[in-house]
Amino acid sequence: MTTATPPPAEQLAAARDALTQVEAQVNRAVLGQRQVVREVVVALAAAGHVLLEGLPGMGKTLLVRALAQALGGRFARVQFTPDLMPADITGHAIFDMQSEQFHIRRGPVFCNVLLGDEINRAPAKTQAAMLEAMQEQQVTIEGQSLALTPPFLVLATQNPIEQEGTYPLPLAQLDRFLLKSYIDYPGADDELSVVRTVTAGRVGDGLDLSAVSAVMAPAQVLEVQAAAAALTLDDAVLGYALRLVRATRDWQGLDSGAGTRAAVALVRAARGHALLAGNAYVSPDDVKAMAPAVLRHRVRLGAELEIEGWRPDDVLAELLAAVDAPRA
Amino acid sequence: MDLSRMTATARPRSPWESIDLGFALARTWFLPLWLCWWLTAAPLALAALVPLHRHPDLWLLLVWWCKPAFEALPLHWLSRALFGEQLALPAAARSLPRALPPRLWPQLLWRRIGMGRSFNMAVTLLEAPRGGARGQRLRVLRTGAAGWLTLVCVHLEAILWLSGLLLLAFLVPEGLPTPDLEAAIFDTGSAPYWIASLGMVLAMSVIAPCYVAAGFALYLGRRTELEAWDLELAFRRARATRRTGRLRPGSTAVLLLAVLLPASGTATTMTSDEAEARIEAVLAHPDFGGTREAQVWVYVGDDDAQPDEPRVQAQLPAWLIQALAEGMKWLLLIAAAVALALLALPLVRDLAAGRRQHSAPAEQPGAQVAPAEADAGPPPADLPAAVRRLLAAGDVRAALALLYREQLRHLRAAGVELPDSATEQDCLRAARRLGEPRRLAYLEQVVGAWQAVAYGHRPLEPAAVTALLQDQDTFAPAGGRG
Repeated sequence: MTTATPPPAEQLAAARDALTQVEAQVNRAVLGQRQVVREVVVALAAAGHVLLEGLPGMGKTLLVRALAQALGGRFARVQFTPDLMPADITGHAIFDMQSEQFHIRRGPVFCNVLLGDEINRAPAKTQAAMLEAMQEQQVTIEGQSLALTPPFLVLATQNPIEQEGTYPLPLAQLDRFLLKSYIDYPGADDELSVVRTVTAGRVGDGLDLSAVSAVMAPAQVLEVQAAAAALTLDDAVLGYALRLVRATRDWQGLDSGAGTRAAVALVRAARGHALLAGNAYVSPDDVKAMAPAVLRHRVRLGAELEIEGWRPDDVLAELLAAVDAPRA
Repeated sequence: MDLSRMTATARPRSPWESIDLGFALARTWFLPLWLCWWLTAAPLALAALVPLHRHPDLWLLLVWWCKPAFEALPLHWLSRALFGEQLALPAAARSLPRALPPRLWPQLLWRRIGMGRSFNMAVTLLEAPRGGARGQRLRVLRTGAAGWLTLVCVHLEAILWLSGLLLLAFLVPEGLPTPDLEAAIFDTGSAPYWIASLGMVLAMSVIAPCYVAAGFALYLGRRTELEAWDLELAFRRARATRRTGRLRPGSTAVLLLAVLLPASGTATTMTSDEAEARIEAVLAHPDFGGTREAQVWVYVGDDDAQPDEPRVQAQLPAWLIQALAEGMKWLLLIAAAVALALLALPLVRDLAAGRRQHSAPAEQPGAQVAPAEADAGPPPADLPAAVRRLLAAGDVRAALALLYREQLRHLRAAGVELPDSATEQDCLRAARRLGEPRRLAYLEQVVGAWQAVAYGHRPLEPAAVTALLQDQDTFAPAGGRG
């Protein structure tokens, strides 16, 4: 049984309200992607980074910009290209002729919400530049470690690997993302609303964030994250999360399963989900709900399943149906 | 025809060698041959456009049908070029009337369809035999390779045409209308069909020089073989040497015979008796007579070879040989069976795995971390008593777990499918599908209490559990608690 003191009911309610408002604001800009928006808000509560995957034109960038606007913190955007250098993200030292000293020019990574657009268009060296920032919340420039200001959230978008001109993300970096969300085609009604809204009385196809207003301050984000981290977590639920993660390692059809960081990520995501649901404790339902998003980029399908057209979600669905839920 | 001016070596060639020579000639003189083809084809194709511009299929058929006429000029040019006279294009155009004699008409009418056109055209146009002489001449020279040549060239033509068409289709940039390949082949009135027809004529023009040259080379090869052009050229060279005084006296008679023989220039038709008499007359000459003895070494085998094996075999009794053979047979059969089993084992394993559909991990990892229902033991025989006992012991969580699992058991008995992997919300969703509001409301109470106590670690009065216990009997399946 966990020993953390559960947060007071008022704090929980405030945190839940704040998250719900953020979710509502983002949903005003991004139509028809409620599941993805929810997962992103859960990642916000769990202080985790999100990898968004989907075909071009599905609203990935819009979603991230809407979230940044709803949070009201510092936002930065990096368009990843094949010639992008690590220093373009982290920053670099420049020599000041007047003072005859080197000065650090901070890169776009020094912000609260960083949008890494089309992250898989850059080669691995540049992608790896974000590893330290994502994991340790700090950046080293010319041997000097500079802490990032919390909250720091990376939301990266990527096109499916099958697209030409993309570089698969290194496994080590994939593991740094708390969740990976798929943005799929919206339903017919939602798509109709999108087209109607975007084309009504507007010139061009720029992102419309006018409906999104800031409902949360960066300091409030930290409070929400602290509340999520303090939710009660029973050993039975913890065991269930661990069983799920460990099952991926022996599952037939998976070449490699999820690591220990995945178990940690699953519990963190479950906490965020529970908070958004208004619960003071984490239940197996929270774990089960977040398992696909947490595990899908941490397992690798075997060649046989790849050839047969399986996706990680298909295997994870079978796995979730086979691992016993706690009943005692 | 002056054989000494021939630019290709005259020697006996197999039909395929002759065709190869023809293709080499076509490669050497491709441009003039190709232009010669168009010199005849272009006027006719353009002229035919006037009446047939609405019928590209008929236009294409006409062009195809007139191919012998288009091939006449390249053949004429080639026959001159081979003997050192390469006509310029204007000169070739002027020689068009000579290259298209009236005897070409049958090639365009009743002799149009045939596999030996490339060869027959050479005989018909270059030798110009008349009437029955043509047939007699063709019978003498006939070669089956001409048919194969036509077959190969037809295929080359089709491949070239189709490749060009597909290349054109694939090179159309995205955004432009996609080329309609079906219309290019079947829709006679469409623009793609016209493009395809033009492509076909272009393919004909590219293959035609090779076809004409290969047919002509076949003709040359056949005549070289039958009329011994190579020997004639050799004798001519020998005579030239003799004039310079270097010829050996012994060859004089043969040389004279060869040079003076009246029929040495052209293969003629004769009866077998006449041919036999001619051969005997030639062989009767002293140069063909005489006997010569020659001695050569012939390998007759190793004298030291020891025929041991038959001797050993002879020494062994027949029953032993039989037993050994039988034993070896069974050994091989067993080895084959083992090999088959070893091969089949992975297949069977894979099939079994496929049937499981990746369903279950080798173990339930983490089962030791926290017990699932399977580890919670069988349901107690007397549930109320067991719940009260647990409440008395202060274990509210275990008491609620019993109640929760009992409800799940009731749901299963009512036909609801609930796997062991179903979480609380899964169970509630399944219960909603059952359509029993009272049962659902009760289950929601139990689940709420269970989750608050088990996962939320909230205290719950035993009295609340007792109240839930009292209600649970209502939903027990018929026939007792079961």
